Amino acid sequence: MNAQLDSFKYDDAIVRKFLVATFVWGLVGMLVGLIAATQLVLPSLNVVPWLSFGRLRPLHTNAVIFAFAGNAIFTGVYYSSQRLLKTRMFSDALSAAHFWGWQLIIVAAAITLPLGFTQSKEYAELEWPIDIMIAVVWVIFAVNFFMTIARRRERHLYVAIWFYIASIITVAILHIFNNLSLPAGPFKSYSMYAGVQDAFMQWWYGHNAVAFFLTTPFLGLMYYFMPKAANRPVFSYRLSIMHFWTLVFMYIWAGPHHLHYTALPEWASTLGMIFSVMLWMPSWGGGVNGLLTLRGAWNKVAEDPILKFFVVAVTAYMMSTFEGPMLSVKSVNALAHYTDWIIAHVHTGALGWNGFLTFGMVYWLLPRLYQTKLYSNKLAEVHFWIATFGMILYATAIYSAGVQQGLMWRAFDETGRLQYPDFIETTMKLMPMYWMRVAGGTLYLAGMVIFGWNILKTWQSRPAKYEEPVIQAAPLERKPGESGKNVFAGFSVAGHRRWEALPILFTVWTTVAVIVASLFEIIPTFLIQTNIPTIASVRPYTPLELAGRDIYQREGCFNCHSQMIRPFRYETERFGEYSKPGEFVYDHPFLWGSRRTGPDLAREGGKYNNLWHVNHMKDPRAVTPNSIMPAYPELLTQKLDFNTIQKHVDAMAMLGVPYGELIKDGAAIEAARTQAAEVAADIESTDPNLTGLADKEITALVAYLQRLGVDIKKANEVAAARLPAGGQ
Amino acid sequence: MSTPRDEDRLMDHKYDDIQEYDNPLPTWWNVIFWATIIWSIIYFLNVIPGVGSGKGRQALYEDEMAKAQELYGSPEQQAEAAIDEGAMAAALADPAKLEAGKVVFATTCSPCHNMDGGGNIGPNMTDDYWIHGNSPKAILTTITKGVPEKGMPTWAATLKPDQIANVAAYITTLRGTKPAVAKEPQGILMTPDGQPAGADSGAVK
Repeated sequence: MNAQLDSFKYDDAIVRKFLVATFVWGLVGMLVGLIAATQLVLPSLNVVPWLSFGRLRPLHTNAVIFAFAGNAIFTGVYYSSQRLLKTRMFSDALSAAHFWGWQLIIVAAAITLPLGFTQSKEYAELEWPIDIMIAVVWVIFAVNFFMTIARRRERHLYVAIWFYIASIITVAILHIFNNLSLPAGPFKSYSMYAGVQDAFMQWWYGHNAVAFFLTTPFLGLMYYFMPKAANRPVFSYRLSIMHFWTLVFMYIWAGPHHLHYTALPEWASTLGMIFSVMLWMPSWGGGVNGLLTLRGAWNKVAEDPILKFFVVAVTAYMMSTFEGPMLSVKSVNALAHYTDWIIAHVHTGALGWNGFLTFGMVYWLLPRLYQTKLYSNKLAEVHFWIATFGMILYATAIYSAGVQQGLMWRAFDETGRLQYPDFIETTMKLMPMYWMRVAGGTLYLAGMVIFGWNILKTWQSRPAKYEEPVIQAAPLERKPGESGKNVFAGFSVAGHRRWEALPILFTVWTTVAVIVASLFEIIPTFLIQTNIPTIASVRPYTPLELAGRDIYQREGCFNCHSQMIRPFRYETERFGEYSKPGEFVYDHPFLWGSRRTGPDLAREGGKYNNLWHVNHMKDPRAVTPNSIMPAYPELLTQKLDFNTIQKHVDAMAMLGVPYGELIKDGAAIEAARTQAAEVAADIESTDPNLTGLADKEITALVAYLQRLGVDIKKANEVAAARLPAGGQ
Repeated sequence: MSTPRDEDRLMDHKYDDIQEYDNPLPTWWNVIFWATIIWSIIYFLNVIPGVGSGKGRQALYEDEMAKAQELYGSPEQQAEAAIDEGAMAAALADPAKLEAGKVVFATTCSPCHNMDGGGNIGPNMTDDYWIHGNSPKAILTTITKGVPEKGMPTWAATLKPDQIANVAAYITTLRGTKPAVAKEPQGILMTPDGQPAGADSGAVK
């Protein structure tokens, strides 16, 4: 008998590497988050341009999602897959390439985002060279993973592996299609899509990055580490089948709920909403399976910090996956959109679900990976309580802030005027809650420090040389020709069981589920002309305005300012005529934003004079007392890079923007210089103390801001530019 | 899909010692799952009033605007209502209202006209020269409707009628004050009661 057994060893060294990276980047990402949160209450902390809020906020989100959660996923996947498939990872070289490649990407992100290199699409900010690196490293991971499956010694795939498969496939698809762009320089590109379509692609990506980066892989981790830590069987195999397939199929449709009441066609918005509502139970299936796995082990929860972390993680998951469908209901979304409610929602998911699941997993792994006892169970308990308290403080504060500001925006007085017409009034009301968030974040970060200490001390008591146990398992017998008759077998439990032995078929079906669902929304969005009625008076940005738009992107203005007025009286009274799809046809990329920390800018053009903007950029508080916007005095001294303007205009022209004669050699630069001289002359004539602005960045930015939303004012085409109803 | 009474029957497989039960889906899970699907279909079909997109957001918005116009008058009527010379005259005679006007000036006007009215982004309010006139009606109109092409915003939506009257009254009290830093005169020389000051009034810049 023994002669037939294979002998092999698991690769735990790679897991240890990913684990350390998880902690280090988690600490960095959360620290950046805390700094950004503090900048919102103390705007003077925006000390240098590369550390201002607009550049730090994307650094925070990218670091905690892709660096912290990403490395946590890889830690768990590399540990559990080898054991669930009874084989070593396919290739140590690919594992190492994956690890070092991913860390290199993170370092590249940490350098380029503060420098202002950004595609300005949320969670897809990284510029094209890094996007290519991500694609390459992801393929390395996928090859390593799928070849490990191919070499498995366990015939059937466990549910955790299904979730890993779905994550790896879908993230690749999302990443590639959302990031299609035309490079216009080493770290500058313009999205292939414009306006409504770009917004649609971005939130198809953005929503499913949450789904397939922060949900499905973590469900996979839960399915391995939770029963392991509780030493209990999983509650229901059938539930895992049902919720896996419904989750994978339905999640993809839900993206448009991020764009309710925007210029996105209403039919897409409706689809996004109803699929989000239907997604409630598929999401909860995972939570139910997690919590009910603890049946009979609840007494252990009281004394085991690991199980405590898992219980809170799954509870937070169920809270946010109930809240998600609720927020996607249009009427609820009307209140919550653009407010801190959304920030609170994602932090329940991120701090609770992703954070706590990672902490529990790491505490469980530490003694096993470092082959010693956990340094201190007590400190792990302290970490649990301090992080829980920090999270509650954060959530309470930011939920209140969101609801309060949302209600203030829509309040009318008895004469039919806005109750709080001054935007800054609604901002000032949030300050106590923003301080409370800083306190909550500090506690959560303090928990991280305790966590790090525990990791360090545990590592220090490791053996001089790690033992590498030899595992023995029987190789799989080849059973060729099985897949043909099983293609449609999975609709019964027994049939699904057969699929689990056929990874290629399983992967194909997962891919089909994701792609088919995507195409149902993508194809009509791109092909139906009536979705985006054109407006004749909408013209491309002038070369100078385009340069100003590049600065707007570089400084991350879209992180705090929306450019999308929704069709509600309280929005149009405050900001002006609501936004029309046809206004964005030259917006590569779209800059609609998702959070109004400051006011909407869709109709900013002509609201104030040029000098107002110059003074406001130089020192926002001199113009709007109590403003929390960072100051940008450097824009008045930094020279505008006229030389790149031609390249940028040419790139836009290649994407179909009608620039006509301006693409001729140097014509765009000439036009930009002429307009800059005019704008500067106007500013300097109103304030003789200002001089020499014609070649400074501020002039381009002011030109861009003054252009926002004015095209439809010129011609009276408002009536012709109605929102597309699309039958729904 | 579930056979009765098979709770906690272990499946005959094991992965790295993890086992799974063959439990059926919880009934409540099934009920809610199918209920959301049925509700979603009904919502999409949009045939039952109250469940669905109804007339659509465009029509709903137009209804909302029409209703507001009926209740409060059109934006133009609202702006006209704020041009109330009587209220301005009353404010001029009432120190409390002038004080309230000063507060409005400090928060709303000073970013462009300076705290002392000496002018900065916008023109000087303390000299005798006016671009858009200094009769009560002219001042009220400039504040209410703005001068969008020169960057003076429309304040009818932001300020309430009494605030507009108060701040307009306060502005007329600034004439002749001598701020430390004052912008050069712009517009036409005007008499205090709002008339061009005759032939010798030179148009400045």
